[in-house]
Amino acid sequence: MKNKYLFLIPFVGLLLTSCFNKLDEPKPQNSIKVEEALNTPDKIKKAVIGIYGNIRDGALYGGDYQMCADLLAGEFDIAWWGTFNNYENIWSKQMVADNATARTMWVFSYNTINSANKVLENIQVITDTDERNQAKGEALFLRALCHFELVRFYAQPYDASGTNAGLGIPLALKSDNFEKVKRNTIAEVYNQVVTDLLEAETLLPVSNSYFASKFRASAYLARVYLQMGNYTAARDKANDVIANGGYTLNATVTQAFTTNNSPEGIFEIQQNITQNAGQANAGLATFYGNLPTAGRGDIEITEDHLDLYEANDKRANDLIYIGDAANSPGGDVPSCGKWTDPTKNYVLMRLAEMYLIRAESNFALNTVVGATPLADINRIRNRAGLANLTTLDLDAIKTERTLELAFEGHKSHDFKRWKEDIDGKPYNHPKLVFPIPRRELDANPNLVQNAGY
Amino acid sequence: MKQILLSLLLVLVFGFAYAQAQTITGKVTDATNQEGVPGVSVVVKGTTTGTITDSNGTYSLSAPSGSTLVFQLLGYKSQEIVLASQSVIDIALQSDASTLDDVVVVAYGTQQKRDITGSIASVKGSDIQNIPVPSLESAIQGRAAGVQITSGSGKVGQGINVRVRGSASLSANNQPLYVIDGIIVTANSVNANDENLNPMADINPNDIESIEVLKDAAASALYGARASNGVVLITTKKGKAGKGSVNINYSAGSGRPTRKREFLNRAEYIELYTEGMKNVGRSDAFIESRFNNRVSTTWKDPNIDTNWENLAFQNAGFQQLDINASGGNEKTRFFVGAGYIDQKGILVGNRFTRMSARLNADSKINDRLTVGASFMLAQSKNYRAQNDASFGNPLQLVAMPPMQQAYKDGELNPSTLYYNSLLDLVHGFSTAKTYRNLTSLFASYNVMKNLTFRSEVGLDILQQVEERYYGTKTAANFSQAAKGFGSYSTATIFNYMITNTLNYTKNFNDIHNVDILLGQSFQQSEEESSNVDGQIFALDDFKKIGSAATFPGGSSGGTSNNFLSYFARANYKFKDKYLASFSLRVDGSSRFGKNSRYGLFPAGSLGWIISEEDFIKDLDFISFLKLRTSFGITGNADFGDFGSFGLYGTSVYLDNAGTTPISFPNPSLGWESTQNFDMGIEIGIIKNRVNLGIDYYNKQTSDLLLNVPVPSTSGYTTLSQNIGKIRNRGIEVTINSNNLVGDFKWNTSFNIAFNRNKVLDMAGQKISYGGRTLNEAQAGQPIGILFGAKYAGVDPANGDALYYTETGTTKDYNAAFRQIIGDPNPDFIGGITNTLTYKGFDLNIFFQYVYGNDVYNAAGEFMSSNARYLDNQTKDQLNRWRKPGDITNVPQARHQRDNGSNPSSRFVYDASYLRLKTATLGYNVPKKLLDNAKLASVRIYVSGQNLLTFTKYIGWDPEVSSADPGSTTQRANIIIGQDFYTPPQARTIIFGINVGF
Repeated sequence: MKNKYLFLIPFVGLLLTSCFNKLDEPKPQNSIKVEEALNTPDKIKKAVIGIYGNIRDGALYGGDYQMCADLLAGEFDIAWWGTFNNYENIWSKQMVADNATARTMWVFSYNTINSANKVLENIQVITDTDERNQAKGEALFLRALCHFELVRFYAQPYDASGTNAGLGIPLALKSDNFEKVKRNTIAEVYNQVVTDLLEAETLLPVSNSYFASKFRASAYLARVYLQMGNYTAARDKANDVIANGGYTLNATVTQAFTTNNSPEGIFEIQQNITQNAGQANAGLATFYGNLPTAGRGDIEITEDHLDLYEANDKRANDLIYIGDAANSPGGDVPSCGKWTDPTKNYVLMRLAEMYLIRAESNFALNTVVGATPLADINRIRNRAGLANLTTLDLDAIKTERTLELAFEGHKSHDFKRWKEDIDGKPYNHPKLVFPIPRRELDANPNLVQNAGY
Repeated sequence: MKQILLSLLLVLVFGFAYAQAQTITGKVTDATNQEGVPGVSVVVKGTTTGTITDSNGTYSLSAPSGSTLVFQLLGYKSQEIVLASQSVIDIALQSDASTLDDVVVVAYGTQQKRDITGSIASVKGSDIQNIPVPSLESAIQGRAAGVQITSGSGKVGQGINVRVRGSASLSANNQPLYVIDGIIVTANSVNANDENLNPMADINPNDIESIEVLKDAAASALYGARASNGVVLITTKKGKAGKGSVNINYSAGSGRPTRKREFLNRAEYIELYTEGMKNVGRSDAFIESRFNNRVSTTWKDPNIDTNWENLAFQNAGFQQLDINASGGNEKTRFFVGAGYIDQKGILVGNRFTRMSARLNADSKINDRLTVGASFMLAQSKNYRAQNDASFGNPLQLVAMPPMQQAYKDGELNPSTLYYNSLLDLVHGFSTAKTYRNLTSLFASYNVMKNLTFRSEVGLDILQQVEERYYGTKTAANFSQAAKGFGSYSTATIFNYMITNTLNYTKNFNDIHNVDILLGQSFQQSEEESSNVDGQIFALDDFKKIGSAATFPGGSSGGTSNNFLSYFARANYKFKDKYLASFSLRVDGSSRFGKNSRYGLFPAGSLGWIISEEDFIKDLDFISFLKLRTSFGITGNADFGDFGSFGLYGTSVYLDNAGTTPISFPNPSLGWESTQNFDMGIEIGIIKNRVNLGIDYYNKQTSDLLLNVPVPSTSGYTTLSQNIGKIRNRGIEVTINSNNLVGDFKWNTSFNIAFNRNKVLDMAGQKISYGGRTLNEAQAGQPIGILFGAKYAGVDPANGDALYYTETGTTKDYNAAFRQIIGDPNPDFIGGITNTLTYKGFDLNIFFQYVYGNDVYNAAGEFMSSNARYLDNQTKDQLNRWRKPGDITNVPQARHQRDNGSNPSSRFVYDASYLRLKTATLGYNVPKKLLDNAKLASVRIYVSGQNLLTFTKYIGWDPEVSSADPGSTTQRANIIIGQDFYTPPQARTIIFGINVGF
């Protein structure tokens, strides 16, 4: 009987039924389900690591947070020569409303804040008090940093003498919050940043490898207070870090940028050859670097900036070099020597800044907490190979700060604080503030665009 | 008389009684040349009894008298003969000009063209043989009505956009489903580097017998959750019973870019940029130092005037060799073929080669059981050109100032404004090798009369290896290469499917035809990928990762998905004129969220062959007239494998591995659902010498799988939701006319398709990307509409670029009124082919056209921006504004200041085009001359591809689609009609010879 092949039919039927379960079989292989991601103490700690992994991105502390502050400060110090028009437009104050850098910085910042909020909301999973405090402190610290950087770029500067009731940025304090939130005021944002950092300062241990620690929170508080013009608090935090933080000035001005986690380095983005912000299209060294081995030579240091240095200033002689990347065929392009290796750490905060904050604050308050302003300034000058000043005025403090911290992400923030013109524009000019990204306004009509966009 | 009647009665009675014993023999010949036709199937109608003519065209079979014999062969009109008492039946088959009786491949089967109630565009393999393109989509461009095919660029072997009746999705894939010999194959790219490669380029177009594009629900809904974008059925060549044949085809030629642009020479460059710097107040000393520092210390040397554009292109050599043999007998048929193609791209360094082999065979084991196999093995190798947006893209060389040299002292000059990517060709390489195996096996068993069980197993294995090495001299582009950099990436997709069908066909009383199909199928696709980077090599001679000192990057991953499906179809035909069809498919997939695991996809259709009606039968003028209509629901499930999950991924900080949220869960995530309505009319006039087809369709897609933009303050930028609606509706017209028949034949095929795409609903959101893009998706507009500032020209008073506001104009770009400034979707597309044959000569001229679409040249901000950056400028920038009163469209040159360079309608152009896509002149050497040489046929031909392009577009080529590499599917769907240093198509001329033994 040829019909014996009919037995195939039930066999095939059997095959079918076994398929039903197969629909559940495919599983993600490089990710896990949310429900399984935060349910043990160890997993919470891994989620904390993840926040650092986010914040080191080229759009945040891997480059843009710092570089944009100097690009925005403008054409006096820097000539931008690259074709990344998103950066070029920041430098030349010609930003369009959907500037790509303004968009990615915003999106990545809130993404990072969300990973911190996820940790904070599940922090009770950690039962050990010390471990829980540390994880919570780290998440608060990193969340505060993002909010702080955002409010400095996307809102008008904090005015120590004002109400600061103007539009800040939305504070994201809840995870996975899809509500169409409004912008908080500038004051609310700064208050939250201070609150988070103060809590982090109490929760964090003194020593925590290169992760967030008590004195790192103190140092950031000093920076935030200074930005707010709260000189007393800024002075005291800076003094605390200088006196008790365990950091010491390096012997040379270059060491902080050539040695990872040097004695002077307070907080650094840790990088190596495999984990870094990028070597081709992102990262400080990519844009500042002007060497055959690193960088695109996009940022040229101007003669005007070079003229600011006194003769023999090591910060000019040792930290500014003539670049010879391939796209500088004429080979006469002064370039910044602080960011020349994309596989090395990016220094976010170093002790010299604490001395400068203490000096500026003491000077403003006419106090001598820790040391006289002159002594602090001379300490910085001596290290740069310069002679002592005998008298001190505010301009000298500003110049010292500008040169010592040049291209480390301070200048436009400082100029706004000092209410000084930038490239002929008043400190509160709309073009010195980033646009709220267009995609964000489209997705959230409750947000109000900044003036000028 | 009585006796006669009696004997007739006797014959009838005995005839019936001895029905099984009646043996019929005969010869089937070609009506035109009276030669025997092998391979004709001769079947007793309504049964599975039948045979196939041998090499001389003769046959023999037993059949009861009174039954009907059907003679059938593709390319000929079928004939039916009712058996009386004949024992010899000779048949002269008419070659089928009308194609109405063609057997067309449909979902899970075949059907006569006249009986089809769905909308199907067919392209014969013979129309696309020996065209100098690597993949079949390029070959069918303009030949199938309603199928828009856009090559991403002139780079060979790269991704091609295929849209069947428009884009039906925003965030999920819009490419059709490809089915080759029954296997749903992998068609999405898997490569890690640069732009998407095209997995369909692994298929040798010369192996293809026919391509059917299933366009409406009646035709495609049997593919259920994956049918919304249309289904492309590819059938490869099978052997034919009869005299075996061997065929060799060889062609060779070369190509050049379809067009070049003009850029400034040194004198013009210096003039424009000096002016541009002076206009922003730069001193002479500054200008001098800029040229010295950034361009060249020898910029004043008048002998250095490099035309960089020419350096980007090469002579694109082409050669292709195909050898195949086919044959068989009544029981077993086979086709074996091997092919090799070596096609250079017009961009320097770009090349595609493919070696492929195929074996198709089937055999009747006995009266009931037939088994068969189809097997293909291929290796494609792509010598890649870097992606459009990379400085390594040779076409970006045009940005170089002409005062810079490509070569210095006989060596490539590494010190240029931007990367001298010619260095890549000497000191680096980037290749992608793909190994592809397609295997399908089937067994078909006649369970009983009229009932066939068929079981099919299909395997599609795609393995790709990408290798790159960048030597020390390429570090200017890629600093990681300072001491040598290499990478090695692999991707493997193992895709298998099992399909079982039961097919019942029966004719009742000669008036009811029933064809019922029941089926089940399971498919699983498993992907694995890995990558390792190596850095620091001893010498550039060591290029393999194994020689690297350190490994800065590495990854591996995998994903999988599966589909479990059940389907059924019933076709019913009454009196050969009333047609009805109903189909249903149930699709379950791992991709769907837990709350919506199974989708239901029904379709129904009706057809009426009016020309069979008595009231029209007598009209000589109309030889065929059919009305048909269909409605059904299809789905689109071509999105990420785990879109319904909320996921945490890895986030690494130095040597600490951590986790971070990457997506938010949506357990209800399901397929996109498209309601398809189609209505068509098919008319044949003057004995079917002219055939006209018109289709109207309306495709409404709802439950779009939309990555809905959400405030990023949530931590996410989008949520995957089934929200939103999009509509495509349009009209397609095809005309096929045999203008002249006889010795001098002239045939014209024409098609035109109008599609109107509209996004109806996006849940109040819109999608835009900013940066260098203008495309948006917004409700009420076609997908990818160009939206932004409208350029208002130049202020004659001061040379400022102006933009329109709602009431007037402004020079402040941010204050411009943002509005629709273009539409990248064409008003209509199509093609027209004229084929002329006279004696041994044949001439085929094929034009393809696209009308009414806009292209945005995103590179305009660099290459046509009145000296904004240091990039060399297109010649038209010399028309810049210079003094008050100048009337021009090019603003004043202002170096490093924006003056009209931001994305706007200034760089949007009408990119309609008419292209002489293919022209082939062939000559068949007369048989008489061949007999002595024992050859069956010899044909020599010359063929040109893209010979002429008529367009107003000012760029290299109006056919562009420059999606960034690695960009999301959604981005690729929406960023359409964008040109960014996109290389043009090749204008290729080849000579070929085809010899048959």
